[in-house]
Amino acid sequence: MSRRALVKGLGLALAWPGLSPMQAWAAKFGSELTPSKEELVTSYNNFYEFSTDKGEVRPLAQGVQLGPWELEIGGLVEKPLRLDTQKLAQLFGEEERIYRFRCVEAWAAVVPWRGVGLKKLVEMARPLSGAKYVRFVAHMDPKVMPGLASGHFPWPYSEGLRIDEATHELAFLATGIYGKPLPTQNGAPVRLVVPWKYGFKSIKSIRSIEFTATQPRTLWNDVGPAEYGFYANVNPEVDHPRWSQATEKLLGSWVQRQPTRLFNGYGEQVASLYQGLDLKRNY
Amino acid sequence: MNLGLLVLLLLAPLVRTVWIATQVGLGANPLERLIHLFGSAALFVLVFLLCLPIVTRLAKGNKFLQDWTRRRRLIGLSALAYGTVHLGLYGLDQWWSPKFWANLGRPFVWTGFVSWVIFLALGLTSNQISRVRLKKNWQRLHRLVWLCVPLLVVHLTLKEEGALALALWWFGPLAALWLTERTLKLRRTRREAESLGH
Repeated sequence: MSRRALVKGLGLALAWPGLSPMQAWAAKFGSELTPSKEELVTSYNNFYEFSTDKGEVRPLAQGVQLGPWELEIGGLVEKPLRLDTQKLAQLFGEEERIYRFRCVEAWAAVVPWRGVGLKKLVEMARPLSGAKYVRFVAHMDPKVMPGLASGHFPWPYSEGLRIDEATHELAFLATGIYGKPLPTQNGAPVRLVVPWKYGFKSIKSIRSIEFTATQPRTLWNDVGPAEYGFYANVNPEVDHPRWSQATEKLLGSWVQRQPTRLFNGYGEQVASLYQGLDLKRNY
Repeated sequence: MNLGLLVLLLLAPLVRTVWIATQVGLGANPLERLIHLFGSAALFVLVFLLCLPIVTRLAKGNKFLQDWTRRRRLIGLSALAYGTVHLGLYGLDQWWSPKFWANLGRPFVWTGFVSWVIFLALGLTSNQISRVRLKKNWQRLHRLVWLCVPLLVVHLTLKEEGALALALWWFGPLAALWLTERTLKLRRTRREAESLGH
């Protein structure tokens, strides 16, 4: 082999993972994914701290900057942490992941996220053996979030995962979308992304992460226990009491629907987490 | 002039919808947005229809309102028209779902559907011939319009989380008017009873 060819080959080999981490990820977890239009994903948002109207969130969030702040990580851990949300990428290495996103309201999107694997953060905090769950609590500022005035919800927004879910390779902390920092309406400065669960699990604007021994309470489970379970795994067989979950509509589509897939199509990666669990009862 | 104003008022929700669809945009879930817009249009006209006779009674002898009250058929038919589009678009949205028929059994869906059926029945019998033919039953039938209120309160409440506030927003004014009229009546009868006693 000539020296020139060798250098060329080396260059290619080096360039391959460097050039397109997004493509590498896509090849691994579903290359058929075409991201939804950015305008759709950033204009149609469930963020009840601002408004219950999905179209009203962006106008209300205009000019409101959330973060940066220090993310608090505590509870049953060896090493409680305070991490600057701006330094997460630097600490854990930034990745780009294109995930399917499925809202419990039967609409869906494909979103290119940017951020860090949740697993890495959990490992840094070193949970104690008694830590079985992870609780996430969102930011709450009535001065800039008019929706908080609604007494209907037990604010602040909180969510939870089992620790094996939180340390799954797919669980992600996003700080950006479409190659830009997260806009306020999408959960700035940092949000959870759990692509095999309904979107409400992917809590926005996270302030603290706490490791607990028992299953934490979550906002939606408190508000409607019959409709929003702790697991909330995407499942076409288990209907929401008020609508069917068998199909979903991609944002931007008028009438066309596509079949919803078990675990939002990530069954190959996550189904083993739920072996022996009755998914109908543990919705 | 009276009729012109009324027609303008009844067309206002349609004008708003067309303006939003063409100038503002229907957003990421366009059909859902249209369904909501026509739903609110139907509600707007329905609440107007139900409030009108009470307001007219409260504003005794107002010729303008009396004239509008006599034109309730037009108002009711407008509500039916908006409601029909609302339902039609919902049907279009859901038709492709394999659970179309099963979905009809959900309280969120059937409360809205039954309200529409009531309005359809009232619309079909709103002509003079039916009125004469049905005699006393016509009044009975047309009182069914009030059944739409609890049905639609349930429909709105189940729409999304915390939507009881939405139901109150739509039907609050009607409830307030109804209570005002009741209170005034009660006071009047009491005063009359007192004056009779003296």
